[in-house]
Amino acid sequence: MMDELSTNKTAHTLYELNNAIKSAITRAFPEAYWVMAEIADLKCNQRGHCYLELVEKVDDKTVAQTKATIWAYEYRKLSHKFLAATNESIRPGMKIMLLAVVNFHELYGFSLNIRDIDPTYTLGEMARKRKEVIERLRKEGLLELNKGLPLPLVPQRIAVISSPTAAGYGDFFNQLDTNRYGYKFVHVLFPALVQGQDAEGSIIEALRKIGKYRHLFDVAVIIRGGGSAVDLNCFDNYALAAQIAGCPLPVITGIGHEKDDTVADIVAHTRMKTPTAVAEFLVSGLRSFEDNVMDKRNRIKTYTTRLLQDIRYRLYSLARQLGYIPGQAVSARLNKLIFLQGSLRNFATQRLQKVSYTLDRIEQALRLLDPVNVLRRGYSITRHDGKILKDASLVGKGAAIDTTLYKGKIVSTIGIQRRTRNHEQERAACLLPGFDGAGADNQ
Amino acid sequence: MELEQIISEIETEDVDVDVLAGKVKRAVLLVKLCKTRLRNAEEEVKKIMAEIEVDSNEDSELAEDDEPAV
Repeated sequence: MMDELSTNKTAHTLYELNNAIKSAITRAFPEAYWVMAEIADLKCNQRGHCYLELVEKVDDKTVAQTKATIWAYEYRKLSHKFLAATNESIRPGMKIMLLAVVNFHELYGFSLNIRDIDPTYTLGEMARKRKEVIERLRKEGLLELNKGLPLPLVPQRIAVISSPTAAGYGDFFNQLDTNRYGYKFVHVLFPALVQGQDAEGSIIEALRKIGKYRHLFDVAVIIRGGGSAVDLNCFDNYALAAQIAGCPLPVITGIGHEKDDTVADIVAHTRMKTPTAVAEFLVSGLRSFEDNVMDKRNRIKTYTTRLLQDIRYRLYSLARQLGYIPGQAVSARLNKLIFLQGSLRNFATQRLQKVSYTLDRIEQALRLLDPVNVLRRGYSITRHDGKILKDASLVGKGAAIDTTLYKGKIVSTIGIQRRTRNHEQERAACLLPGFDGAGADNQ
Repeated sequence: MELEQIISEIETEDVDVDVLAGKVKRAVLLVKLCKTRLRNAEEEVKKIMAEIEVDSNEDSELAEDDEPAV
């Protein structure tokens, strides 16, 4: 063909040329080929046809670039498949492996028509990129930085990063504000886009602002509605992760996805699956604080009650001892006294009885000896010249004698004297020994 | 936490009854304070809002100033 063109020097139409190129290319690349490329741009028209700009970069420098197309019918099929496998939609910046037919069109020129995309390659690419980001964060000491911040005892003042239009946004505030314990939270929204191209920069900006107001808040929360799991890629990017790591407040994420943690989740202080879960976490934080306080209160109450009981008991027993011991002492002494009194009485009685007995005997003896009693028994006392007469020979005839009887006295004159026998005289004398004087005195 | 301190004081030390009464009174006050703080945040809201509003006004002024240059 070339030979024809050069020898005949006949000019060809552009169409003829392009058509020739098309035939040559079709001949040279008869099959479909697997190609690795990065999507630089992607646009779909109203009919659903998709037009891409594919590039290959080496050290951020573009070394190859080609237009590509995915026809509407293919695109619907492929984008579904891709999303299901990667949780991401096909978008610029992504590296894909595509099955392409090399195409040259007389009017539109060179392009690749994409027939298939292998999501596993993209998954691998994403994982590799993610791993690189994590490794970089680790090296820079950012991976555990936010986790190192202490979570306040009562996370009550909350800076929220979200989009008011995001699903789950309402649920989050609803759950916080109507918690069953009646806790009040202070929450301030720092609006940001949480999906799409501009999400990363928008969230970073919100985090910066929160950093400025760090003294007003206890925690920062990034929430994004649950349900849709697409377009999470911004949460795997280094810049956002680094911003979260460096946030002066503990960051809690509720990005709402089921897949493996995003890098944002990894560097965050606490990772929750959904906005609702974040709200629950915050409520439970306050709850556990209150439980703790009530537990302390009960401990103090129990301990104090016990202590007071102890003291009361001690006081009571002390009081009882004080009341009891003197009583005991007194009653012991009293008993002794009573005993002493008793024995004293017995002793006295005995002594008295003994004395009185002796006295009785003495009295009796005395009574027996009393001259009156002697006289009573019929004896009499005779006196002469005032002296008791014991010997008849001492008085002569005609002498006067007094005789004292039990009752009365007789004065008589002696007529006849008769001698009594000696022994009778002695017996009479013995009868009242020593009583001669005394008996005379008694009269 | 002051409550913890009170507990350790009354549980480990031999407290006089009068001192105990004082500490229990303080503990009751603290518990009440905690419960109140958990359920009332109006003051805190006002404070935060006031501060942020002042700042955001400044921000918007700055933004307006910047705009012609951009």
